[in-house]
Amino acid sequence: MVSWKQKNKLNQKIIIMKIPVIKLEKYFKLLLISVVFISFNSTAQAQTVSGTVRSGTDNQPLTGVTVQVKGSTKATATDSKGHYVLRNISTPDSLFFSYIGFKEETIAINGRQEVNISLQVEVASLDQVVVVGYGTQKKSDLTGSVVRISMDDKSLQSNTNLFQALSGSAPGVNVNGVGGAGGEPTISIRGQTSLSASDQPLIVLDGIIYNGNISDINISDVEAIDILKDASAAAVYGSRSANGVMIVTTKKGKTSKPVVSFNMYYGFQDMTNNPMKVMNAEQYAIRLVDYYWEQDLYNWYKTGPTSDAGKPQRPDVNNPDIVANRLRTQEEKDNFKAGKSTDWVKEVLRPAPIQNYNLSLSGKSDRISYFLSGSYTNEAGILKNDNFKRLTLHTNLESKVTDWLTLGLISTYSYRDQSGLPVDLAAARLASPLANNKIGFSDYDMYLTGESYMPYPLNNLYVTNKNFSNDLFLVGSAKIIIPGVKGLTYELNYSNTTSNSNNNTFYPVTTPLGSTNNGHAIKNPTLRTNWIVNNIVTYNKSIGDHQINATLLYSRENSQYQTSTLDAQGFNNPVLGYNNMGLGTIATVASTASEANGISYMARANYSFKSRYLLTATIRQDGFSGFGSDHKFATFPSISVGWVATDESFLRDESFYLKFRASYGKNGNQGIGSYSSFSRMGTNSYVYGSATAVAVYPSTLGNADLRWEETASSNFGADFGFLNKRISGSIDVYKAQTTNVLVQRALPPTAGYASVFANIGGITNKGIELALSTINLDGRFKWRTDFAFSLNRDKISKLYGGQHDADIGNSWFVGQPINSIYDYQMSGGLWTEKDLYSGNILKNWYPGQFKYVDQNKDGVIEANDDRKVIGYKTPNYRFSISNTFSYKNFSFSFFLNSIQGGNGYYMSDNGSVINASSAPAGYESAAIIRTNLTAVRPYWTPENGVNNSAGIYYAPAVWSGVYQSRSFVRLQDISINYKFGKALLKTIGVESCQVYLAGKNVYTWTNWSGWDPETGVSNLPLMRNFIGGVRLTF
Amino acid sequence: MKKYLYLFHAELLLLLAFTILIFSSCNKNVLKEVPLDFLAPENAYNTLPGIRQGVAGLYSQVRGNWFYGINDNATQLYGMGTDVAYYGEDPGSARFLTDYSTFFNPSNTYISGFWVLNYQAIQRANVLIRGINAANSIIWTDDNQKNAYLAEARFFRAFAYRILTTYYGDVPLVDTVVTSAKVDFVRAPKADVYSFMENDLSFAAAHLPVPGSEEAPGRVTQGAAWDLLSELYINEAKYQLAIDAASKVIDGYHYALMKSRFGTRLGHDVFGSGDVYFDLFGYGNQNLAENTEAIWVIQYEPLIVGGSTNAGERVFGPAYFRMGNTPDGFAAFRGELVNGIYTGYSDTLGRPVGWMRPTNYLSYNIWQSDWNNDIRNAEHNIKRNFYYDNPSSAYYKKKIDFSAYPPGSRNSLADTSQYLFPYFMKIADPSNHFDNPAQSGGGYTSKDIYAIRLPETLLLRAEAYVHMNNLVAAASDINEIRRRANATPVEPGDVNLDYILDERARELYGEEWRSLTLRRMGKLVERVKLYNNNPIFPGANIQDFDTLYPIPQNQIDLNIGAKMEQNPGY
Repeated sequence: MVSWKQKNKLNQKIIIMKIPVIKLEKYFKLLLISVVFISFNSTAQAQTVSGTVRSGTDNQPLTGVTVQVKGSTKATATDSKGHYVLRNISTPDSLFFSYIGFKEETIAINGRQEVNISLQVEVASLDQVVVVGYGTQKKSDLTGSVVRISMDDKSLQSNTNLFQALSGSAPGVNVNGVGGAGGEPTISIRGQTSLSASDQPLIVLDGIIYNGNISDINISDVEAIDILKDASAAAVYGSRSANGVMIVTTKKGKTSKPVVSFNMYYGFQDMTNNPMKVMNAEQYAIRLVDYYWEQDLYNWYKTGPTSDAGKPQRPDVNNPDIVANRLRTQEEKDNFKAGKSTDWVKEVLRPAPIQNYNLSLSGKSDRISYFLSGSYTNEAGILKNDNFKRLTLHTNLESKVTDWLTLGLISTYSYRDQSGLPVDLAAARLASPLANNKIGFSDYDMYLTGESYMPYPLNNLYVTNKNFSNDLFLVGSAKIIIPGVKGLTYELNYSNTTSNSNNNTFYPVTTPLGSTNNGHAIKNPTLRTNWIVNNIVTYNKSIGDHQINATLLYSRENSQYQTSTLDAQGFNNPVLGYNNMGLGTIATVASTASEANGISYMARANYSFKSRYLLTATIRQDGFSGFGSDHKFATFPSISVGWVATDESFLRDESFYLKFRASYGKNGNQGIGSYSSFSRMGTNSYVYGSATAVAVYPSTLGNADLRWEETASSNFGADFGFLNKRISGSIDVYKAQTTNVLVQRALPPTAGYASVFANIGGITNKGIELALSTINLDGRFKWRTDFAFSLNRDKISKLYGGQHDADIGNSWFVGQPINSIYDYQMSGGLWTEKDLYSGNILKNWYPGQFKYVDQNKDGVIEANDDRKVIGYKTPNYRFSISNTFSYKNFSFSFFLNSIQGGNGYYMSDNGSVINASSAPAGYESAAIIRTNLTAVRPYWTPENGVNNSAGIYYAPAVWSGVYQSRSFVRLQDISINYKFGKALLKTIGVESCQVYLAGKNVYTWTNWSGWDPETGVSNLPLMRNFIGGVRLTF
Repeated sequence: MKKYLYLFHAELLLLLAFTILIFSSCNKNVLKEVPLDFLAPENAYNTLPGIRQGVAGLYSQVRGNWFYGINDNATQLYGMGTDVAYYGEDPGSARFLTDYSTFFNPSNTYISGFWVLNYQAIQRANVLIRGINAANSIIWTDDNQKNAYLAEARFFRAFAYRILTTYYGDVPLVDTVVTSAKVDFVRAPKADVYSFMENDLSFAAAHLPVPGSEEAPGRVTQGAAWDLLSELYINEAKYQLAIDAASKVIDGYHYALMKSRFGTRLGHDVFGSGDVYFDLFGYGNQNLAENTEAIWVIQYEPLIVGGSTNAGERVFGPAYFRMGNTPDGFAAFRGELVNGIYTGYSDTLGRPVGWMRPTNYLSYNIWQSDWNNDIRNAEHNIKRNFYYDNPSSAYYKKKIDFSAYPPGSRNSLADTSQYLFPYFMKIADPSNHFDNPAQSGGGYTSKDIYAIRLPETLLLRAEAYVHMNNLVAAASDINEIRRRANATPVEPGDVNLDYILDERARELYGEEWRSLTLRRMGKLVERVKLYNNNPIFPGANIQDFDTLYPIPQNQIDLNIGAKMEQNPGY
């Protein structure tokens, strides 16, 4: 049997040999097929076909359904009554119906003049249409790694920030949660490709690169988010796309009948189940006795005792006089003896309400589609005075002015208000439980016990603060179907983001920052603007089974930023606060400004044959002003191919789907901001006599050689569906090689600068991602499971050129992950008195101190030979599982999210929480006698047998972090909801009604001590909440 | 075939032309960056005002880093852990140089500052020197003007190397602007560093303004350069040159010891008495033209931009306000009435926290011979007696005496190391607290600080004379100071280096950088063992190798282009 490939070769040979006469016609046909810009028209009998398209669920007519003659560019759309007419088509043709959110259908005409059809709502994810950048593609036609996250699934969760909603939602999408009202999580896609430049993915909102604040986006306005993970998918966005691209698509009007929908929820937040524990009054007082006792003890240890003889005895801590005598201030002594104490951590926390209201109106006629919405969010943080309020207005209008011109306008306005300075949890953790409690009194102590290191944790309640921003994001677009050339369109769009924020604060004289000079006012206005112009030319063509799509882009981008700081002190009359700075006696001003520009060119071609063999090729050139003058531009090519195996005749089976994808491409990263190539001067001031002198000094070292960071990556993936697609999913493996890594490189202090931006070396990332959806039960009782797993490994492949380069100071080593922890290795446990007495102890080490591994076995623990890579900060793997059950009108879902360490991964220094002790010089040991400490583990004393936390007096010969795994499994979201029956609702004119209860961060399983493992030792703890809500549509 | 020809229709050509137009309309110049809000090293210092701002940058950094800043570097310079002071608040702490064996550790960020901050200063000076040399000559009225600015920059460069080489021995010599990621520094022999400093200081001594003709108060003059040069020559064992340099200061200008009362405190003696030594440290007196003793004064000014504050009171005084109650149970100090509330702090004593507790050597031993006649030991200059200040108590206005409390009811270590100890009032600024009245200044004042005062130059010359075995001349210089203080003159036979160190302690505590003096004289280990009476760590566990600080570990780790040797012992 001759294979297809061999046949082809044979043909070519024939062609080459017999070009002259006979095969000319054949040769010409071949040539025609391979030329891109050609058209192919069928020449059968002509007729007119019309019909109506309805929704399969409610039999309502559907507006705007694309009806296309299969294999040609002839197409139309249904009108507001769902009606369509197609003229001049040939009888053997079939019609292809497509509509977002519904399954596509192909119907053979078979000589009929009327073809009516009901479209079914789309369930299986493989038929999704995803946005790929300057265009859309059916998921089944994709060649790159793209994942779609539908916001519909998130509608019952209390997310205030879009990133929050993405946590654990897809493999390779890594969200790091934060605490605080309106807190903004950080997000990264796949591994870390950069050392110092931004890790944030590029955000594209409705087709336009979005430089605004993610907090401005109302989640209810979002239809879906498509995440482009591999190089080929992201390459269309070349610049900055090395960290992946997040494409946010907002809702549009869909049906001719106007839809009004309303949803709201209300709930309460509190701390998660991993709170910080601080010492209570008794522990606080006694630890001082032990601290001074251990001072004596260590002095005695240093004399080299061989038995307990002469050992200083622990004072009697049951004697209140002895304990009180060690307390620092009289008020603490008095309160200790009187048994009065205060839990300051409790005093700064509160149960915090969270509420959200959302109203939208949408619809579509044959010429105009519209979506209008407004929302109000009010989230209180669990720290008193931590507030977040947001008002958004969003419109998405599209008008088909003529057959060849479509105009669009998207506008998003957001008002955010975070007024009020949150009370100080850090101060509360440090505050003496024995300090006088004057909460609510006007003569409160701004410094507890009169000590400036112990500010009153609630001071901020007395500070006036107004912190708000007005942000506007506008996109205007015009799409022109070029007459004369079928399939050729030109789109011009312009977007503008303007963010104006103001932060005004007045610190009265009764607060630390206002006390020095009769009150202190600060105004801090900032203005950020950003515009982008895109010119896009696209060309679509089908010739028989060949489909071609070509896109050309020219884009210009500009961003500007300016801030001012107005500062006044010395308010003899403070009543007007920051509103009249002129009443201050000392005023200073400062300002900053910056500007950045970008230019991009892009060309992309998609080719598919029978929707079975798919090819995408892209080339993009980007210029960014922030690089050195000779390195502004970089070019990023990519290519990807796909093969739908189950479309082959030998595999064809409706219940089974399998597609393979492969891609290779380059992306860039410019995430260093403006001016990094310049050396900069800083400014401060001095005084000669009583005359101020402005001082100018070199502050930052520049690097005129600074250039693009480039990541070349390849991705192999497969999408699959079995058992009538009840099991579906995708698997991807990838490898990414980053070169010219942008690095904030620490310099030896002798250089006079702490660091410099540089391009050095290389980083390799590789990983595997798996997404799996199963419909376990599909009857009256439905059960669906979604599972996501991702594993990424990164490695520094090159630093400065040498094979074994080790940059200890920056903790970078060739062959090791970027976030390696280079430190002393603990060997477990503490030295004991037995070790000391028997002489079985290293020189300069004493009981109650952590044991370290003497790596070079020279009997001394010292910096140059005994540190090594002992672990990594990056996770080992992540997974998430979501389960949705529904029965009749009830549904219940829960979502588990996990980040796992193990084998030295996902480690972090938790010493400040674990080790309640003084620290050696250079690590703020003096705090021990002044402030409260954590109490997650008791500290060592010779008698109490503690083996995992050092003595309270701690001055070891060397010091390292106390590393712990942050692995956790979190019950991140849980919800139950009920949908009222349609019959009942119809009588009151309601289309649908749903009520629900939901919880967020409900429970976390972890071995990490203290604070939540995800946020670490942060003073904005992660919150848990429970809400109840209702969703209505009319 | 014909149907494909529309590809070349006019409309399409037009469109292509249009596309090409917009694609090419961009000018690559839009990517050129123009700094909007900062100056670059290349253009900041090419005008006279720019150069003046660069000079101010040198002063600002030196003030912030070394002169009574509330940081550990300053306490170490002024003598924490030497023969004059130990950490009073918590003598057994692992911080504040109570114990050399744990504190002197290459990773200790509290001691690496001497390295890091001085190399920053050197870079500042180098950039300024480059700028002055590169500036268009038309900005200068004459060469003298240009050289005066060069001299000022080179003075500060030498000033940084003075600290570096004293603390670390051989150090990398950075003599030009660092413009790229340099990671291959090597330590230069101390002798090379000395000769580099000699060049800079000689140039400064020749080209700085003559004292009195400086542009503004607080700017360095030839006097300051000669003083540093004199110290440098002693380090290089060039004693005659040291004597000559010191003599330039002592005899060459208008400098003279103040012998009679002057300035702002006349008629305002907050402690009921005063003298010329007390006046030298009065608020505003350091800059006065009539003060002929000041050679270089670090500038502070209350409540204006750039004025700043210093933490002298906080660092040097006792934490009296923490001592608790009177024996009859009232707060020992009621304090000032501010905004209707008694603060607990005295406006004459400020709010010190008892960091530097003077050793018994400094508090008592060195005064024994002239306890009652040496004006520097007068109660208004060293406050040794404190009084209860609460009208509610029967002890009101009585002298505080811890023996009045029931036995065992007090913490005697804190009583004598932290709450009450001799308070050198030259550092305090009684009743001049402009900021933070609710805390009597919070430990901060805006009083100017002497960086160099004439007695220091006299003692340098005396030191050089001792090395030259001219004890008569040495005694004469020392007695110049002692006579002004109404102390008994020293006999030449009693003069030696230790005597000079004692006299330095009497005259210059809180002004001289004791830690630097002891190191350069090779007296550190001996005198710490003798006089550092830290009650928990007597002698502070000092070892011979502690005369040099450890090279910071991050310098060794980051200097990957060349091996940087650690100092011995660490």
